Amino acid sequence: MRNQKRQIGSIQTGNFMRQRTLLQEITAFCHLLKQMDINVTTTNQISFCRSLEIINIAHRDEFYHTARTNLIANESDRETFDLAFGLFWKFPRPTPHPLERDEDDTGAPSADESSLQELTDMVQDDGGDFTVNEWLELNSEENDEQEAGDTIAYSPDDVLTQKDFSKLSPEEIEKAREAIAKFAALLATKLSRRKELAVKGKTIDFRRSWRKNIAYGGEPLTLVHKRRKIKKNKILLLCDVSGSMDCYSKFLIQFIYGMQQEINEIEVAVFSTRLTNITGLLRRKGVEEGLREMAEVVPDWSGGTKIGESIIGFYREFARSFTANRSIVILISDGWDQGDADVLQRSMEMLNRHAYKLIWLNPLLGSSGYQPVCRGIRTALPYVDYFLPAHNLESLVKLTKVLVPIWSR
Amino acid sequence: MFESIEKVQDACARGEYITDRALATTIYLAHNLNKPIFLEGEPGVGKTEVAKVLANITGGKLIRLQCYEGLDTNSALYEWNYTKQILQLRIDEAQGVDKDQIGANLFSETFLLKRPLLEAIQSDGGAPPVLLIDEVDRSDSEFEAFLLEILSDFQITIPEIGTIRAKHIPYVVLTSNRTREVHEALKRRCLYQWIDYPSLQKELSIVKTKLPHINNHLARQLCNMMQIWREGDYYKKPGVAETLDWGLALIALGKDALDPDIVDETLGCLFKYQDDVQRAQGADLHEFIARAKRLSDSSPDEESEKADWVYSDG
Repeated sequence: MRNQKRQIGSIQTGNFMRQRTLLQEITAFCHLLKQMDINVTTTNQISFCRSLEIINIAHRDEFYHTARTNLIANESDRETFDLAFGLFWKFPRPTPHPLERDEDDTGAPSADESSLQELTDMVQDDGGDFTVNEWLELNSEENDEQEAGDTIAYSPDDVLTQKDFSKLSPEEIEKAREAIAKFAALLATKLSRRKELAVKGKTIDFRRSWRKNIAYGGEPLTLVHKRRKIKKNKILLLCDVSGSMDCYSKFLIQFIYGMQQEINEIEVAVFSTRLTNITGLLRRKGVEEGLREMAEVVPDWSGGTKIGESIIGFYREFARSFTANRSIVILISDGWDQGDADVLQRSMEMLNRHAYKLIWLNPLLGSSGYQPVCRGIRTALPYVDYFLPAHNLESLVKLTKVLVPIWSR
Repeated sequence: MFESIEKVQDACARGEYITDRALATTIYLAHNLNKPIFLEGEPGVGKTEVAKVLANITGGKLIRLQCYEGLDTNSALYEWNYTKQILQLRIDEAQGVDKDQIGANLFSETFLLKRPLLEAIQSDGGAPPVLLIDEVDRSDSEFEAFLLEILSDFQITIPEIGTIRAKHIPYVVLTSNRTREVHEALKRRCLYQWIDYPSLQKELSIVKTKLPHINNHLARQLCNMMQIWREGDYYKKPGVAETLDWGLALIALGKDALDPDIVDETLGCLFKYQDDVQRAQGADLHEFIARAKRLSDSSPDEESEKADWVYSDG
């Protein structure tokens, strides 16, 4: 960390370009990329060095493209890479003369330098270690302050449900985690297109049968059977974090945490007016730290709700990652939607088409006398496979029981 | 032709494929470092085409493996020809071959059915083949893991025969439409390149190369129109493949300029989702076409294509 700081500092003074060998520079550059969450492996670095032997390194374009093709493996890293590249190799942004890079060291601070400052801050920020419980405490205090203003969106009756998750002891949290784990385990599998050998399998594996019967001169004496493998599901968790959901935030956090523990392939995104994919964040920082940072990263935390717009935005950006594997989409929202009803309908249609199963967990369903009458829900309901309550522990346990017979077809 | 990046670019141009510098660098490095290329981008931007043109300019054989969920070694690597083996046994029997000799050669290369990966590794004669592993994102993680193994050593072990090592390391091109994220480990073995929608100038040269009969004027309008379409908010924006389809359609219809009716009638060449077609129809076609025409008239005739500068698009 400190090392990092020094490097960036010396870029600012413009001195250190002359102090090290190229190999050291490259190692330092790769190190910077790693600090910025680009996962550069040693193999990549070696390959990059080998590439440098066969290109003209005095040619900036060539050098840049060589670095890029070797060091990044995701288009989404490109922006970070360009920033790092610009900073580290000290290329002023738009300039027609590739080789005159060392000459304008002085001058007014540019946009680059302010982002450099951010970068330095980001890299320096160590952060404390929080446990989920501590984080929850912290969060509950924040929540208490907000609730007075934010819970007017629905009847006072519903506010009571917040107690469901807010006053849990560590043992109860443990129980909650178990309940979530059970739920997650249920969703975690489906039948694959791949087959595996099975004595009780229904289809005949001709390849293996022939192979086996060659020993008998090709007479089909024994048959080998196969059946469809059980495959792990991919799950997409879309969580509403708008103002009206504030009092369920504890449930959400527990739920996200539990699901992440149980299921390998899970994508988590939170939305209110816009959708933010936080999977990477959670994976990199762990759930505790990730969630803490989440509130800062997500621009409209506790804002209004635009479910339709959020979902469509999501499909544009993270696109068809979910169409191929037909993942299960779990939408957690109370359905208070301020967006365009047409857009909501279009987005639900889209989800319905692309998802293997679409599950809507609604915390409000838990309160007695609730009817799904608000516009958002009415629009969305026809496209939802399962519309289920989820507001506390008990509801989750029930939920799992309800789902078991339907799921294990 | 692989002496320098410029020469790669020229060779591709001769093979009717317009590359930008970034992609040419990747191809140049792939040749010199013997590394696979991993191409990502929206559908229809010409990823598969890279492999085809590579085969074309090197004179190597193009071997294609289309990926799908559940693709396994039997269809990707090799399979024993069981019926042939059984027939051989029967023949041996009928001919009264010595008991010890019956079935002695059943697991030799004669009975091996080569699938694309084995074919690519075993090929010997002339230029190294180009192995195109298309749409890796459609396969599943088991297959990815298997690819990792092959792409790192270029050797295959068949239990009955032994290890087969590549005589020439083939050019390998993997493509992905990003319907899901391919595992980092696989991407990190490769030289990565993202292929974006082309710039106006690049698209114009592509159109002129691929559709030599197109009227200059129409080509310009077409490409400007494509840039305008891509500014819009569509589920699937039209790619270069769509541009070429549309150009062909317009030529076939004998048109030499765009007009709202013909655009409306040929929208099917451009948009493949009903939502998108509807949105395009809802757009003000007159205004779009007028804009495209204005743009084509205002741009000078042969503007030299600048190397797409790294930061200019950032």
